[in-house]
Amino acid sequence: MHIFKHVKVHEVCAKEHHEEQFCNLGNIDSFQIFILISSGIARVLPGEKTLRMHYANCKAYNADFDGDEMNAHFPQNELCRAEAYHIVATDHQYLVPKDGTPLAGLIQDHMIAGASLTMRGRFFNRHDYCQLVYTALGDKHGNIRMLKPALIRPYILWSGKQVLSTVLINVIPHGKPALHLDGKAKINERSWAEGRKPKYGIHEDVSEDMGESHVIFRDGELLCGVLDKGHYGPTPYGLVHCCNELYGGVVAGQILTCFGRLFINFLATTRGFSLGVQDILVTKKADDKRTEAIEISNNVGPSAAAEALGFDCLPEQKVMLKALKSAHFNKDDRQLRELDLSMKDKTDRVQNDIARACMGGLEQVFPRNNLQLMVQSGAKGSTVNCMQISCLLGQIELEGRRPPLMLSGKTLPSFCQYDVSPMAGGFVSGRFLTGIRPQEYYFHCMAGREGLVDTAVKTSRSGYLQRCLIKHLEGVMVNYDMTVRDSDGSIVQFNYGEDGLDICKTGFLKQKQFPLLLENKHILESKQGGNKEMEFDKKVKKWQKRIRKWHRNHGNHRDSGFLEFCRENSDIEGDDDTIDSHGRTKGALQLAKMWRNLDTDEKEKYCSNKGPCPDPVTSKYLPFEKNGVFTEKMGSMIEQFAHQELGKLPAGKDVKPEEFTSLLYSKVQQALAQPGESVGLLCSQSIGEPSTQMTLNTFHFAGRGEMNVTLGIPRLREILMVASAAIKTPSMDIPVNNTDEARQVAKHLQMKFNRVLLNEVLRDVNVCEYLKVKGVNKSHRSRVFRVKFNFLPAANYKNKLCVRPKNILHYMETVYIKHLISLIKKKIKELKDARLTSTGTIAQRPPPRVNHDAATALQEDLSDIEEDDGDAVAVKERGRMEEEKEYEDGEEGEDEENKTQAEDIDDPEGEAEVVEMEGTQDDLEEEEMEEGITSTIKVEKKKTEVRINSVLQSSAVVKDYKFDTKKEEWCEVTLQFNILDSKIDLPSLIDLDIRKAVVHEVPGVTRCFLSTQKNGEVHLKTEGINILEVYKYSDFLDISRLYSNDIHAMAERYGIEAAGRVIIKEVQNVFGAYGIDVDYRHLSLLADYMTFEGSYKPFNRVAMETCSSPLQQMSFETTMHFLVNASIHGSHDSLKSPSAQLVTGRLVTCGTGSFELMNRITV
Amino acid sequence: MDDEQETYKLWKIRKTIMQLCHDRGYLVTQDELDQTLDEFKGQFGDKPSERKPARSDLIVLVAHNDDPTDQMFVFFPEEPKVGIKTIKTYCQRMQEENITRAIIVVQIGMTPSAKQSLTDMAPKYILEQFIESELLINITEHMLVPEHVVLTPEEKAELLSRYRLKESQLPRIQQGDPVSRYFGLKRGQVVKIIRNSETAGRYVSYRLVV
Repeated sequence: MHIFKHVKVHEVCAKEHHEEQFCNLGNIDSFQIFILISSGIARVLPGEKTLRMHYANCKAYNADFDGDEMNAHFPQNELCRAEAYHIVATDHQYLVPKDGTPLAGLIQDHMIAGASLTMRGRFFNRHDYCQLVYTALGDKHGNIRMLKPALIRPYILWSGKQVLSTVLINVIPHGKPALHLDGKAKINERSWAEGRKPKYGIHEDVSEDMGESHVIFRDGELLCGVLDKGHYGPTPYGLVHCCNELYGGVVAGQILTCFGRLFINFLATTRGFSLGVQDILVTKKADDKRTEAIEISNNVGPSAAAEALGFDCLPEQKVMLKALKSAHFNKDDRQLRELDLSMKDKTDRVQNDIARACMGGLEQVFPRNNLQLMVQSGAKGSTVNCMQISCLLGQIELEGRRPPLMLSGKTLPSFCQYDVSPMAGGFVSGRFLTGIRPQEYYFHCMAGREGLVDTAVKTSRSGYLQRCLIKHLEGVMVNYDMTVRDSDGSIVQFNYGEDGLDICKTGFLKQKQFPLLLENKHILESKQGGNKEMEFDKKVKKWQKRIRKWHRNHGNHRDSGFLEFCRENSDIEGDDDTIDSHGRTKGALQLAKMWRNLDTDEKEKYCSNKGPCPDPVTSKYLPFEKNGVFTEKMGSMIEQFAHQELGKLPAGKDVKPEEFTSLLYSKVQQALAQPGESVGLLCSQSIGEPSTQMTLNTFHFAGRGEMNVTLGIPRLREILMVASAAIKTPSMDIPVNNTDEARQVAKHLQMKFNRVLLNEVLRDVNVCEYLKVKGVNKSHRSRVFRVKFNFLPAANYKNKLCVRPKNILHYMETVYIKHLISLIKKKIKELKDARLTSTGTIAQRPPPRVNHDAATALQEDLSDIEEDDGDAVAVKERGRMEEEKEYEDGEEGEDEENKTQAEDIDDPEGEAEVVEMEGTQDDLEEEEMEEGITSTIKVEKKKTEVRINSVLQSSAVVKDYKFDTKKEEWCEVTLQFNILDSKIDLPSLIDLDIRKAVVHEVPGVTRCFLSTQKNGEVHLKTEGINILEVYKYSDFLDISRLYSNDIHAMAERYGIEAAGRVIIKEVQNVFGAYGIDVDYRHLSLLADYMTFEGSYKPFNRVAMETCSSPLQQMSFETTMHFLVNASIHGSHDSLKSPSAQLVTGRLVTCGTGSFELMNRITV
Repeated sequence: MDDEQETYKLWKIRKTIMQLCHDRGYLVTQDELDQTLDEFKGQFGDKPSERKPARSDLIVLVAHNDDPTDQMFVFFPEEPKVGIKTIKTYCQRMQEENITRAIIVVQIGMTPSAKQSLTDMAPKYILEQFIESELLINITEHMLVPEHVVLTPEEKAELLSRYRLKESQLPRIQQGDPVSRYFGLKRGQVVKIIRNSETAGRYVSYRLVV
């Protein structure tokens, strides 16, 4: 981009008013939208100080009218003017580079007018017809072509569709053929049918063929269908988009302008538009249904709550209240979440019932209902708005949950404690038509406020994300040899987006759009200057043939000349079973020997056709080097289309496959990404911009007890900026083979992979605490805890958990009791320490301490300063730390959370003490000696003894251990501690601990599910990952399709290429959850950049260290750090990166800046 | 672990090893690649607990297609954690038979000193280490792992001249990357990667081993 002088708008106007038109460039102070600067032609009105801009372009600038300002730049030289007219002009910025969909389009009133103008039954007399056409085409030079009237008798009349056609035909440049188009309107065919129903009273067949929603253009004339948002709004593959593709941006812009004028004029002079109460009223019958449904909804509360809390039938109110209370105060709010889900499930059903009843029972039916016309044509509003007006507001949600309970157990003060009715949970049954209650209003406001807060908070997050992306990718652009390189010349991709095509130009290079291209063949050909069949290069053709031949001959994955030889001589391998000291059979060695003895010719014979598939043509030849080079995907699409569709064309219109291929080829040729295109910037903007739209952070999949997945900006940060090895919600997904046996095994595996916590198998724990006095001495007094663990009978969990009573007891004996003892000891130690520190006068102690603290702090500060004065390095160091800290602040909160969690987990192990045993052992041995009896029952008994002894030996505090020898349903341990300091609340300690104690787990995996995919395939999904464990079941699981969202784990197991694929898929998943589509080319560039160094490199300042331009590094973050490093290492900057060029005031060598004219110097 | 499972595991590992040897260009017969579990049992026995087969029986020696003197051993040490002593015996054997390349398939891991000794011997004797559990499957058959082809020095030179590149400007792949370990890549080699692409059908990329 060249440098523009900043000129205030009114100055320009004053100076330049002698010129009628001039080109100006506008850029609004906009944030994260694609087209930051675009040029337009503005008419300077004499005597006025305004520049006017068409409404359709507002979207490109992200401009609205809430006080926005805009800067106008005036081109300073001819080069710049040329660029402004032919590259930056709004007409040429019709498509978004994010996914190639249109940006500009008509809005609001235009849609209403457009839809009602093109409806059936709209007719104009000559006067009105001419008037409308004239207003639309007022600035056209030359004659206006008129159409013949549609009706001649009884009156001469033109239809509304003809008005539109006239405008379109006249806008299409002279000499160009008019277009054909088949499309669909936004308004559903069913809506039209509904409107007709009451009139005729008979059921009409809803067929889309030639209906109002079927748009047909032939030779530029609209023959059928209603035009709405789908055709002149910012919608892909509509009329304007097609015109942009066929005639170019200028014509598309013209069409928008003329349609805009036509529609507004029609609305202002002929139709008019208004909205009344009648449009939102609901019939009596529907209203009754609604009241009925609301009545039902008031009573679903208790049953939903009972379901969620695990009651089989409706419990008494007291019991329910207690359960709710414990759920509310439980640390993990799993139960409340369950309650939310089951309640939402119920209320959703009610909501749907009401909506169906009311929306079907409106007093006025579309198209007479003006509100419906507005919504359906896409002018303004959505069905949600209609529902809120005439049905109900529905369930209010905050951060994906129902409104939270206060400490008192109420959602709002006006409800009872733990009220389970939907209304108390934020279900609003009122509607705007009849008004809502104060409580409902309050809930509604809460949701509204959440939205505001969300946008305010999220913008900064996504802004930083985008900045990080941009600073890394700023120098990545397409080069003349089609490669995508960074500013230091290193190759990121060998073809941009893997096929080398520009996103904005590939919209119609899809099989679905081929018919359109075929129908408008004549337009495309006229653009290319006549119908000429392209002669493809012979070498290219030959190469393509070779590839095709290879594909015909090969299906087998692993093959070579030697293997072919082996197959031919399979009879030689006789002695199969004996192996020599080198691990090979004689036959194998003999074969190898024979193979070696073959001469090269014979070898060649076996090897022919055995090599790997020839490289695709695109990697062999450059597309502009030789004719006929296009990607294999395009090739197969063309072939398939030619094979299936071309034969179906009517006789006179048939097209030869070769003709079609060359048509498409020239289209592909024009769609190649242009050298100099800053694809890195486009990529980072295309990912940064949609991330502002993402609100909710976590989703629950399909309701109860399912997996939790991090989504939204936190996940995006995790993938792109942190690249942490420990992600928040790692998971695996493995398809199960399609056999009964495999499914059986999968069921078993699902149990195995589920972690079992102690509290899941426990029925109850009895703790009996008493004092024991042995002698007079104080030290002989002790406190004894007898803890009895009662387990659930095995039948209760047999089908759910992967443990048996035996395993549980084994776990108790070997692990848990030791763990419990160490836990108690730790607690005792804490008590002791607390007592030591708190002895003395507690009341007086604190104040002086505070003073003391303050004083020392002050002193330290002073000394700090003194020290720092003497030591310059320390200052720098501190400065650097602070600098870095600034950036980290955002992440800190989360990190801390993680840390504390990690500590929680580590603690028990760290504290595990080795307890020495002295006297006990001797006693036990003696006991053992006494039991020297031999019989089968005794053996059993002995085993029991051994088990008991091992427990007793494990620690000195264990005084006794007993367990259920028959059913293994309980065990009891007696622990003895010194009476002092051991006054602890053991039951609550155990109560907390059994929720953490793991009886059984596969390391790394916490939960596992079997889910059936849409295609009927069963998938094993796990929370947490352990890839090596899964390898053991390769016969039952389809390991080759194993997938995990942990990019590091995938890189470690499958290599960097696989990790790159996972990056793409994960980013797609994040955007997909919000219904955002980002073009594959952006993501593949992103993944290739991140994996460039062979490891997974994030977009943060650590990865910035590897950047080759010090100035680019410094302009990112921690300037001092990079500056110091650069000076220490004496690194130099070649001034190739955009940052470095801007810093030094040079022309950035991206885009149009990357070219210069070469002059022929004559001496 | 019972015999059945152990035999199954050994069979799987040997199968993967054979595929690995083939993919590296060593001569492996079709029968060896296609060996079924029953054939494996017939050949080696089915009681690993009674040393039938012992791990040392599984040893493989393969010769390269292009150069018969370029041979590679695959060792299966008996002990779970391999020490430097075992490595020494292997080295001796390699010295005796004049073989410079070997793969050691360890059960659990290697002692740090043994690992160090592998790198010490590096240029003369190339010993690579694999863990049994990762050889249970062949990672190159995974859907996300594209086809990797090692370029000859001539092809590499042609690539660099075609795009006018310095070596350092190529995308990289680490030597410790699972796929480069599978193919036994050396620093400075270039692999051609043929991806299945959503936009292009097939897309060819290159990576330099570092």
